[in-house]
Amino acid sequence: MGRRALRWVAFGSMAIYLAVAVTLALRQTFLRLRWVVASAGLPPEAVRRGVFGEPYVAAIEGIRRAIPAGEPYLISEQREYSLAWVRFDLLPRRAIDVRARGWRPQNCLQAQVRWLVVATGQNRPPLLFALPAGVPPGCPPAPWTGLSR
Amino acid sequence: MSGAALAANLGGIALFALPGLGLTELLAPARRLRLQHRLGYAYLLGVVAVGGSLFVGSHLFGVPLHRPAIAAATLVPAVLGLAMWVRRRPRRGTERPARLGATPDRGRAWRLLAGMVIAAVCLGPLASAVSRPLQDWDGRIFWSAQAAYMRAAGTVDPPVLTEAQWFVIHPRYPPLLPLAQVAVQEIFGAGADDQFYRALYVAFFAALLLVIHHGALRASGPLPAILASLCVALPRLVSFGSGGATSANADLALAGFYGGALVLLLEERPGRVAGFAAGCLLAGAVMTKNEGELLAAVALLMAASRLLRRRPRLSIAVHRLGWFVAAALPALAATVLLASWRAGIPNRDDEGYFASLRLGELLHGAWTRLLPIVRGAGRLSLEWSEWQGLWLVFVVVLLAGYRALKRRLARLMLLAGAAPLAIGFAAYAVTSRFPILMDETWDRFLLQASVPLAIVFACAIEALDEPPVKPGLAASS
Repeated sequence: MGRRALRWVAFGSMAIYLAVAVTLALRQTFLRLRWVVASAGLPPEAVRRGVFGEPYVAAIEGIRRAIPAGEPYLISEQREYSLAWVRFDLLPRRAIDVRARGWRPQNCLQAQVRWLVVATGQNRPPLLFALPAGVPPGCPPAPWTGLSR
Repeated sequence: MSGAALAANLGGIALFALPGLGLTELLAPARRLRLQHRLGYAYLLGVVAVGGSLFVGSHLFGVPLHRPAIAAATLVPAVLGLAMWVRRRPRRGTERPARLGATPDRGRAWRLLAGMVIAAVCLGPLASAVSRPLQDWDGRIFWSAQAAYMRAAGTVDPPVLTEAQWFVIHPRYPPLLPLAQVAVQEIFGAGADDQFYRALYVAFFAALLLVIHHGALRASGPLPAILASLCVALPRLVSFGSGGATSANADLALAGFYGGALVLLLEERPGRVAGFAAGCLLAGAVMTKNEGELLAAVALLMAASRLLRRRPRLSIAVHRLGWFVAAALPALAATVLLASWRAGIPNRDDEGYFASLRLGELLHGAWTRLLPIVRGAGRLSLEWSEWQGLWLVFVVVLLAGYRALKRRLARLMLLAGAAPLAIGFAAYAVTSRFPILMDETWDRFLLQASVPLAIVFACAIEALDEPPVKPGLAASS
């Protein structure tokens, strides 16, 4: 292929790319601006309900009310990676991963954690379980044991 | 979305752009840039200045990550820059204008149209970020989670990171962006579900495009520069994909830091101030992602090649050495700071590529997985839903404009663009999660390489436009 032909192929491919990609990109901008208009004036909770679904947001709100911000919880999952999804919505509460990975040591703190959250999937309502936690022999009481449940 | 949330998001951008503008006022080469290019570098430098100050203050001196410290980190460079601006006012007329201050008017209307399209494209992720909650996996898992823990504890060393029992994925991940996020959240008093930090990430997209335009303009001409910027701005992945502008991910930031430093190191005249500005951007790269340290080393190697190119007089050699040291020192300081911070954090839930990397294993993996990696790279780079054919056009234009590679700058930029991809290749060669890891991360390495590759692209477009050199003339030149 001669240099001239290569040049035309290059300019042609760039023109096709620009024609298609500009159209798609501007369409995406238009769609996102419509979201802005649709969500104008709504509080963050309402927007979250619209995106994640009412059951998920209600479950998260319930867990937030149950577990004080300074208290940790144990977390497990029914679907892979979903615990990381749920943990984000419970931040800044600290979590202890209790999946069967076998390397994280049981210690004085873990035995005193009073809550278990089980993530069931992305945007699926997580489950909350109260645990029969207590202070193990020889362990000092954890700071959160003074907080009311 | 409320007006207050929009204002806080835009205020978050200003929180870094204003101190960054102050810094560019203090750094002569950046001061001479056109306003739009200056804004791009200002944003990147502002994030490094504010985030870096908070990192140093909190980690070394125990300064709480609260409003007074954040306000000081923001105001000091902004006020210093303002003072410099006022001091320079009577002399500004005599300041040497930017070398590319005046560009020919050819294709001005097209360039203006392309600029407007780029602005409209940038509006998409901004609108998405301010109207929707964060749905990006990595942003939720790493950066935003780290930021929330740091904000709650008021320190860059929160117990959640330093005590081994807490569940944190990649606890040693560089904390620059979480710190920037904390700064925005604290200054604007964000509540649990207020995501005032989202525009912070979108602004890296705009900064990246401005850096690309600056680098491509210096390397080629106005039309190739705007075409290269436009082409990079368009793919869906860059705006809305994993690692894109609507995510809370660090790849666009890393691309901006790495690319900006390359432009300053390889295209600016070697001088201590330009070197220092580039070094600050490299420090940003180091503090942004794990790959940042390697990319900073690559950028410094490229810069070193400028030192070795000719044998200058002693005075010039000393001057250039000063330039190189000024670039290397901030990156080195950031590396030391990061190492000190990591030393207090027990590692867990981390692939630990660097710790487990053995040369034999790497070579074995590189050989046995060569074909699957190359096939995977081709498949992922050509994925229509993410890139809309950008990399195919890149290859075609590069083949047609191969004469651009006769220029040393284009060759260096191509090499610099290959560096992130080579890091990815090495990771895929040794990971136990191949090919899943490749599917998850290849696009991000392409993003990280976007500035140098866009500059090569612009050079190739320029070469397409040049008339062929007659054999007789080529021989005589």
